[in-house]
Amino acid sequence: MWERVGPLREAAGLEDALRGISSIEEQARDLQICEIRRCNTEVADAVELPHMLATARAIALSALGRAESRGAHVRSDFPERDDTGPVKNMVARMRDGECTLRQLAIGE
Amino acid sequence: MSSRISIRRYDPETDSEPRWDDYNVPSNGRTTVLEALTYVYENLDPTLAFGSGCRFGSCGLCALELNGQPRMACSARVKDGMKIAPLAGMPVTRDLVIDREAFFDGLRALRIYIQEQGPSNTPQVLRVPKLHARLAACIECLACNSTCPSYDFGKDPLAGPYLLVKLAQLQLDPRNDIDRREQVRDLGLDQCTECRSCYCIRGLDIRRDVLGVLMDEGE
Repeated sequence: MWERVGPLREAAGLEDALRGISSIEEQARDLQICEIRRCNTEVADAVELPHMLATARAIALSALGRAESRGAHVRSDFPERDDTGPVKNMVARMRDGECTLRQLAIGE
Repeated sequence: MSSRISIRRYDPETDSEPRWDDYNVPSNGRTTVLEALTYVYENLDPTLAFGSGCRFGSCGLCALELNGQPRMACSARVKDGMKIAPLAGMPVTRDLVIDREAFFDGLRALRIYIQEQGPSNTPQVLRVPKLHARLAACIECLACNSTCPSYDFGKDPLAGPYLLVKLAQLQLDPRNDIDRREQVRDLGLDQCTECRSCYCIRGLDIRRDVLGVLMDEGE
């Protein structure tokens, strides 16, 4: 996320990041943590991991879907702001483990 | 480059007493103790427990003892042969994590906050003494309590220099309407011998700035 999905991003890097996220998701299916009961840092990390992965995927997908530069989202492959159509929000939705992206025109 | 560090490990549920575990961590002279602890957790030993929050010296959660001196793990640099232990005199939850829970109920009972005020009582502009701003540097890391020779967590977890700092802050606040000096006397904190042993990571002069506010006779 730090290297590929920072403020300056491009399609190839974002696709690479999404492959990386899928690979971590695959590994996260078989998670082992130590059995200590008190103050177990791994438990907190294990709880956070799926949420971080879902968030990471939504961010990378939205960045890939927005083929323009706008505010802090700077696409080196689309350096200009695209004001031809209506301004749109990216809406990411998680359903049955599948993250889908939809563009919603503001005011719609 | 790498540094060898010793970490004091203790799980009150399973261990009869603490032990020291040694680890080799990469370091480049700028590596912080918190980075070293994170390296141990991520690469060498996932059972290590330690606290941290902001990572830039503003939350106080990573305070511990480095070679016997209270420091913040996020701002201190790791050194070869360093001994890393939890703050002394505090109940250890596990390894480097201390139990802060006991403070909160006690603080609530002492009303360590500004009482809610009606709109008519709230001044338009708050004039706060400069000293108050200095005392506001306290980030509640509890290093002062852990270095106070009179402090005894088992007897009273609140009765230590940390609470004196809190009460002095409130005493200086123009909206405060509780006599904090009386609270100091009720808690027996006026028995402070002014030995200057309490150590403040943020450099507060507790004897000069805190006791001056709370112990002076009259206004």
